Amino acid sequence: MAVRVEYHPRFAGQYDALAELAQTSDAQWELFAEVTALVNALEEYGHGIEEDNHHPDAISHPIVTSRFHTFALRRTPPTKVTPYAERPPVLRIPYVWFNDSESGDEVAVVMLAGDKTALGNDWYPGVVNQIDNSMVGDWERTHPTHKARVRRTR
Amino acid sequence: MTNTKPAVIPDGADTHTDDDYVSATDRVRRVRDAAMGDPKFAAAVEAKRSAIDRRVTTLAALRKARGLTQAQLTDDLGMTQGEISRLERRENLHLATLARFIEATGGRLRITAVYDDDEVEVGIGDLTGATVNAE
Repeated sequence: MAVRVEYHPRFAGQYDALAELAQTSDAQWELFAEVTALVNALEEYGHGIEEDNHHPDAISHPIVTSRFHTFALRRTPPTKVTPYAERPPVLRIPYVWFNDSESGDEVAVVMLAGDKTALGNDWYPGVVNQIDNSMVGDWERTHPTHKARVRRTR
Repeated sequence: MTNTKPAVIPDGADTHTDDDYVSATDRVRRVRDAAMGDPKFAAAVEAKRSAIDRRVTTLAALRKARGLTQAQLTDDLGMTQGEISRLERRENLHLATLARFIEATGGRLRITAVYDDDEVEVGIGDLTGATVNAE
């Protein structure tokens, strides 16, 4: 089931720059293709690619420290066609689910692309802070019918 | 092109105009459409997508893609949530069970035998009450 996927200008700028860099090296070209495949999968499968954090080869996993329904696409584990996937960058592409009150649709907004190679899981707090405290609010302001889904707490 | 340095993800700008927000989705699609015009790039994306597809097309993914929870299927399947969870992780299951699961998620199971030179819909009839049509 296809879902609506939209893109934050931060990601749009990164994706545009990736396309430029893809002209300069095979590694950048592969990364650009990988990012494209991941966002294409999100557009096609929506929630169908989301797994729990403990799933070893999840394509998308929740960022549980966000107060919103935030998930991150991740670079696929190495396969015959992605043998380079063990090399940097350790790709994460956070996206947030919104409800569109006008259409009734769920909308996934892809926020940015990041690399947690250097910081490991310490990469998340800064990104979650940006998403929760700035990017989601700016998106809602510029898309008045969109409301970010708040994560249910126990 | 060379392949000596690891790939990097560009930082991107932190500040954006309101117009940037409105146009960002179209911007991504334009860049992607232009890139996919290169058959070599399109083939690379498709290969990576195939690797993703092989991991996505699980029962859980089928269910989640239709916005259903395991709890919502308990009545239709006559199973507890725990049993459905185990079913979704099973590597082998009866055809009738698979057919019931697909029906519970709103679909119909069809089986195709794929040969090098032909594809044939396999008529598997009615299995334990599950309506399974080969058309």
